[in-house]
Amino acid sequence: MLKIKDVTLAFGKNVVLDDVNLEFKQGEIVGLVAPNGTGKSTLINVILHNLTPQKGFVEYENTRYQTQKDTIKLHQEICSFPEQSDLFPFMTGRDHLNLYADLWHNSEKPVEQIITDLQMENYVDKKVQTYSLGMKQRLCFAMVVAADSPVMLLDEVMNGLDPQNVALISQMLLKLKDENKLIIMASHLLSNLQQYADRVLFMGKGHIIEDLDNKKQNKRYLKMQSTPETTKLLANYDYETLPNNLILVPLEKIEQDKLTQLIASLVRADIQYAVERIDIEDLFNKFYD
Amino acid sequence: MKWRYFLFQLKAFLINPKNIGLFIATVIMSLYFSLVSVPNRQVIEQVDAKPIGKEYIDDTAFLKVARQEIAYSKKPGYDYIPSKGAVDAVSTYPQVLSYDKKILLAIKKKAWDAYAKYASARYQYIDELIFVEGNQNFLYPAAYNQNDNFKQDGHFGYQRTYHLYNALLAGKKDKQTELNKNILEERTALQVIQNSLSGWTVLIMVVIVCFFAADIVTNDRKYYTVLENIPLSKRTILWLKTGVVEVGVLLDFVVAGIIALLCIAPRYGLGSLRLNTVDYLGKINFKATFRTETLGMYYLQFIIFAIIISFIFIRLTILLSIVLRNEYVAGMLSSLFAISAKMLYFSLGMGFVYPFLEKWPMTYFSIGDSITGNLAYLMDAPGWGFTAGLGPLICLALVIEILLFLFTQIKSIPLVRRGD
Repeated sequence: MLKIKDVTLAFGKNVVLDDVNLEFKQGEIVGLVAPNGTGKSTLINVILHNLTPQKGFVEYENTRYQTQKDTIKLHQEICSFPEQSDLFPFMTGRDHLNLYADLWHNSEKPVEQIITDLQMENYVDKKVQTYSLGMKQRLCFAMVVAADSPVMLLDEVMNGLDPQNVALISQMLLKLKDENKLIIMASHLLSNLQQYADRVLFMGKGHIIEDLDNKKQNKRYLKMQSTPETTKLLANYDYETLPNNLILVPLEKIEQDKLTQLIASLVRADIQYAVERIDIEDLFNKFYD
Repeated sequence: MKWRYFLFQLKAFLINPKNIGLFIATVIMSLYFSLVSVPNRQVIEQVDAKPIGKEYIDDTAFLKVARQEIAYSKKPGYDYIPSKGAVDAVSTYPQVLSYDKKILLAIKKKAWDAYAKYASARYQYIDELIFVEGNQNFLYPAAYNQNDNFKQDGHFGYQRTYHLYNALLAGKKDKQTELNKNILEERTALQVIQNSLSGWTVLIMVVIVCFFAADIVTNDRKYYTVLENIPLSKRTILWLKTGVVEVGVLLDFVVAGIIALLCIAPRYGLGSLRLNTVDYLGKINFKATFRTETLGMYYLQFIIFAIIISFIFIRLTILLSIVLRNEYVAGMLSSLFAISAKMLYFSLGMGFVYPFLEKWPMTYFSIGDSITGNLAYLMDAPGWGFTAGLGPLICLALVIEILLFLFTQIKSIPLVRRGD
């Protein structure tokens, strides 16, 4: 289990992480969601010990970053997603995969299999300098897979990928999850997180403002666009309006007959509505006005 | 686990444009040395019948005149004092001419061991006449008149030559190492490289080592996130990087050496590691002492010093690049340290005046100077050779290792920072 305990980190007066407490279990995909500059990468860097918090600690399987030996031990368990601009341009993709597989002692997962799974056969033996952005991004992801560490930190892994590649990597993420990996991914691709993340953490003002259990979202909402007519209709109902003018009416708070009346009124007024669970994008709009 | 990392770093090292530049520069220097410098190298004590024959004729003529002058002065009734030149000539020339005759015959017959034997005796005899007896009929060759130290340099040159001839002769007897003209003139590839591996030549090689090592750590910032969190300790990373530079340096100098051998050997012969050479130990009990050793032993000592010194400079440059976070400044500072002794105190008699310089590691950075004994001669300090140099060099290496160890323990000093 990966624990973040009482972590506070500030750059000068700017407190980026304020007494953050989190626990992550193996075998889950955790999404980190927040606008740029809100602390996602900072949190990942604290987990990697690239940034040392002023208060609190990170612990994985009872080991904390205390000595250099601990750091190496923890880095053996945690692998982070490199930036594609930092790849060695004169090396091949295979060189990179072999490097990470060797450094992290991966003997279980053959590099060849990773290349096949991520459909990299056509270019993996060419120099990285010939790759497109999408190819590089796939390689960076493949390197983390090659490391085969129990914890994988993926910062914007889907950036620059076309829908096919997003789907390919998403499938791979599910496979890794089945292998009991803990995957923490910071992402702006909310629909993707919606689909695959077990848990989504919304960060803001140094805190985790929402720790969403994405797989246990049973609440349903009546959703519609905010107009004078709808607000008039909903005058006697409990609802909230998101910054994108979306109205959310929690169904659990409305009695059955009242709900029937409301739907009838909406139909009569020709107002489009939907009954859905709240999605991550809605929450994003809710939290980050 | 570390092998791939090592190979990755080695590949990055080998295709680094700065390192390619250094490789090319070394190759060019090696070619220049082999094709221009060596053929034009001035051999002061040449094995050449022409000047010896001319000298033989001149000296014979002079001896004849001198004998007439002496005979004239001995005539009864003549109050004539013969010139000192004539007196000296009569007493010394017969011996010199006897040597010259044997030397000329040896050259004609290509009997090189006979040449070595008589030339050695001749150089020893004439050196005694010039240096000890102050005989003005003889002079050291003008080529020694380069450092405003003509008499001393000439004396040292003659002593070294006759000791070398004796050593070569002993080698022929003991190890059947055949002699030839090129060997006697120290022109064979192994001999000429031996004589060149000192002074600025070696210091330039050390500077090259410094610049090879200068960006081996700082270069990682280009690949920052790929290497930032790899599960290797700072010390392991630095050892692997040291190994990479060592391999690169070795490759560079081996290629340069092979080029030199391939260019020189066909023309002058390769020589042999079994050939004898001499190293000067300094004046011991007021007597200049030369020690005979094989070229193989010389090269062994050279390689030991070269390994220690290149290790020192790789680790020092790495240390400086971590502390100063700038590869250029690190390379420059290491280079300045490398040439510091040559710039500051390599001058006549300094060792006699400041004996503590023997304990300074910088004294030994030019390697060949200390191993051949040139340093002992220049500094007028006996014993400043291989054995004396080992202690200070190892101490310096240990100090650098301790500093590196301490710096790698400090978390606030990472090997590289993204913003560097």
